[in-house]
Amino acid sequence: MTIRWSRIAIYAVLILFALIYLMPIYVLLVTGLKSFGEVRLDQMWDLPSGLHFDSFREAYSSLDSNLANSFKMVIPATIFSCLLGSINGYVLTKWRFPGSDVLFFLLLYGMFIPYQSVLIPLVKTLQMLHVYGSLWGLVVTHVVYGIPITTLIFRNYYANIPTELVEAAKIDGASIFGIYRRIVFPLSLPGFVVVAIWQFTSIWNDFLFAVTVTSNPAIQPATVALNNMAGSFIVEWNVQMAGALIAALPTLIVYIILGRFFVRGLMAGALRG
Amino acid sequence: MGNTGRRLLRNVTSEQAAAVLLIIPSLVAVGVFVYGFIGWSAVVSVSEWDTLRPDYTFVGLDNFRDLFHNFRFQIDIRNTVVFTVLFVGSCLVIGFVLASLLDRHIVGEGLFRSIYLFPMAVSFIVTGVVWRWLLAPRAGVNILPSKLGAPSLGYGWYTDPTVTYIHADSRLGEAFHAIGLGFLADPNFGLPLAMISVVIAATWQMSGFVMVMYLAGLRAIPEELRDAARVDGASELQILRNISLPLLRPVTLSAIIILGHQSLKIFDLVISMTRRGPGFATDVPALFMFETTFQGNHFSHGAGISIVMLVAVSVLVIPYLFWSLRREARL
Amino acid sequence: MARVVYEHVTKRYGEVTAVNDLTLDIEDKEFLVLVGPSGCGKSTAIRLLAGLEPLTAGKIYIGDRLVNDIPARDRDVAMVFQSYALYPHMSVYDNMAFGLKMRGTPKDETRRRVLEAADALEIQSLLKRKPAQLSGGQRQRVALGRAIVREPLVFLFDEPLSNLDAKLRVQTRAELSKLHQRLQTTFIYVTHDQVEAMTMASRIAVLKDGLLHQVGTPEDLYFRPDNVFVASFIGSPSMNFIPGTLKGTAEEMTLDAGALQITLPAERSRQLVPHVDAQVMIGIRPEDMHDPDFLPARVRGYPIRARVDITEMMGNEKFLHLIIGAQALLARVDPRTKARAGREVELTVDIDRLHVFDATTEAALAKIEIPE
Repeated sequence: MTIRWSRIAIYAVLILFALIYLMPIYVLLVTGLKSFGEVRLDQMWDLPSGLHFDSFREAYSSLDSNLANSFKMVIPATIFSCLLGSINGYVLTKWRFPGSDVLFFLLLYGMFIPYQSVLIPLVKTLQMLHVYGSLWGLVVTHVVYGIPITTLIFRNYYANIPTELVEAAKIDGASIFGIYRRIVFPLSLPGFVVVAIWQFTSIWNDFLFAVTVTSNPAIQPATVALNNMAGSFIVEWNVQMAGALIAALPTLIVYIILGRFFVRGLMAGALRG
Repeated sequence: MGNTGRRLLRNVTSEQAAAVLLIIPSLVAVGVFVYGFIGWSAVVSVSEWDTLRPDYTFVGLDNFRDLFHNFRFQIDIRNTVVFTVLFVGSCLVIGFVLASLLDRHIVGEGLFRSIYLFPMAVSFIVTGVVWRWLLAPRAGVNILPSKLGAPSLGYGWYTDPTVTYIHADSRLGEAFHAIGLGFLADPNFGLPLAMISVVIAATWQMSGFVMVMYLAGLRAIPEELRDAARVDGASELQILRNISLPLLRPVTLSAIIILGHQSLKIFDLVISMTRRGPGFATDVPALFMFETTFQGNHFSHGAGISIVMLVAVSVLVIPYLFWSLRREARL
Repeated sequence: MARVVYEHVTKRYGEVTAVNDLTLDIEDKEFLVLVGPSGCGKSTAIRLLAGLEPLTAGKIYIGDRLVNDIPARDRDVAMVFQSYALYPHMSVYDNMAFGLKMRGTPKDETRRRVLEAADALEIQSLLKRKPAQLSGGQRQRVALGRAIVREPLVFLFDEPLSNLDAKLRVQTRAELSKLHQRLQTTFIYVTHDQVEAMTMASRIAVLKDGLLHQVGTPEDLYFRPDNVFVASFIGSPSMNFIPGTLKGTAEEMTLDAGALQITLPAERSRQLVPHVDAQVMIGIRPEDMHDPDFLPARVRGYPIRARVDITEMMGNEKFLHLIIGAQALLARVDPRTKARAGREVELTVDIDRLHVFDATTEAALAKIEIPE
């Protein structure tokens, strides 16, 4: 009998926490779906009387170009950083040369630095390259600063591909890039999925680079637009909430559908070896 | 050696050369964008660049001296310490508790895991916006009890300017004084209550991550070890304390490093949720740096702040990277 | 020090029945070995006893105490696991002291017991080391030590020798037997290796697919197996089985297996008369077939002819792989035998050591006597 009680307690705690975690989503959804008349701070927790999409419409109309900007920036950035990470991971695991471990260490460090310490030179450099203020500037930024984490994840993934495969191909006469093209790349699909999801999420959610590299509100990605919207005194709070939900939707959908791979990226990045 | 030998030697070298070649673009990119830029920022931090026009006149450590005497920066340091301790601490505790509960053949484990982890998928900006309204003084969490029949809370959350600290004339203060730590009984070493709101939002976002790590770690402990402990006479709680927790030390360390380095550079959440807060209660170095640089154009001071942040993060991360890579090499 | 009783114990995991209505009475101070192929339920049986799994049905008693609802930590049993399950983050000393610490045993008492056990197992020099720094054999001793210091009512062993190399295994078998003598406590030991069972057990319980097939002394199981499975499991290389029919009268029964015909002596004929015309399995152990030139004195033999397929020289004996009709058999004979591969050979079957089993039920029909 004692055993049953402790099981109940366990479930109670888990459910309580689940409710706390879901609380913000509940508020987001409920607020977004209310009609303008129903939206009052002291009725925050009340359910809407029906499904009203006015808040969403208004939020979307302010954010739509920014959302498009986010997509235009995130997709190329994800693709390029995946490719770079894959090649780097491949070289570092299957073609070790003296110093490759040191190089890996130096690459990894780049993942941890506060980006504040590179912002000023970054801006100057992007200006020199004439991509400052444009989405391509952001793409370049994210591709470069994504190299450490994508390399890490691919390196851990490729460590699990038996070296014998590469050695057999070497004996068969393939070149380094040939082996990549014919053997490693075809086996990389799960790795690409994990890295792509992780990068998509990180880049979409980024704010610091976005707000630094782009200054024109028409060019800025969704995160910056959302923050501007939230900081403004004239935008209604329910529109802010609707906007937040819209801005979060792409990564949430990716998480819901492909959550498994999200977790794998997380684990590969967090627990080395 | 002969012709074959020489050809082989050339092949080997050309392969390794090709390997290096494939990886050079990344090395160059990181070399420039990370190390080069850090160097550049360091140069700016010891310069006199205070306006839109670059000025690289060398001024030694003046900027740093100014910073550490700057009232706002001092508060930022205090806030960062407070935030880091509270944020990392609560994530570790909540993550561990949830993981150890989930490790017990729970029906719907996958669902619970997904719920605890989903906040990681959204941006800190979204989190900031939502929690700003959830912890707004006249809404959100404060009025939730009234929905359940209890009186509303009237707490100010992130608008509360109170900084609790050990008062010099309190018993604790006198105890500290007696052991030579009297200087800690000062608002400069106090806890800005407004920061708690930010900690709540950040913990909501990241505790799922810690939970996943602990869950994986717990699952990696062979059940046989726990069976042996059970037969040896340990209760489930004793097993947790004496077997599971010690074996999870690497996970705890990894979590501390990853959360810690994030908390040292926290920016997105603060800027969308509370900004600097009442009396700089929620101000953080990253925010200070951003305003100084891009709104005040004091590039040299901004660079100075960023270098201080970099050093702080490096002190945390470099030993960890060493330890982790050496451990991997040994395996 | 206690007896252990399994009373109609059943354990089901969903559709699968791991232990099926097991009733077994284990005497105090016995060395009982549970033996059987993988998946037979032996490990499950001791896990149920240890309290690591709940029963589906039945009762388990330790001493006079019904332990069904008592959690593992209060059952006062100690267990040695197959992989030793040493706590990797603790020193050898702490590993051994852990159980005592959990029960609140005073420090000096703990120290005394740990040092005593370490002495007995000759691991005193290892007390400060961590498991990762020990060899397989050393780890096994620490696992033993951890169990010994608890001074439990029953010792459980789950395939403790399977991770050791062959030489160490032989050595450790002897040490375990000696340990049992010294400790005078009930040992319940699980293994898939019938050699371990035969050499160490006071009694053996043979399981297959969750069912208990036979329990008895090694002699019981070797000479008087209850059925084909036990007969084939005990003894290595295993018994030869030849299908045939029982023919004849009470005076003279013949086992008719086509190319092989064996006439039985009077006593056995009388035993088997009720089963005349039945389809049977004849069982002959390889060691009960002899080269007639080197026949041991007491053996009452019956001649058979066979063709030798291949021979294997083992040193102290020769294995002859034989073919009789369509049947393959193995015989272990004196190494001086003149039998050669490809040639016919005449062998003598020990007529007093023939086993007869019902072909359908596989049960033994009339058993032989255990020699003095």
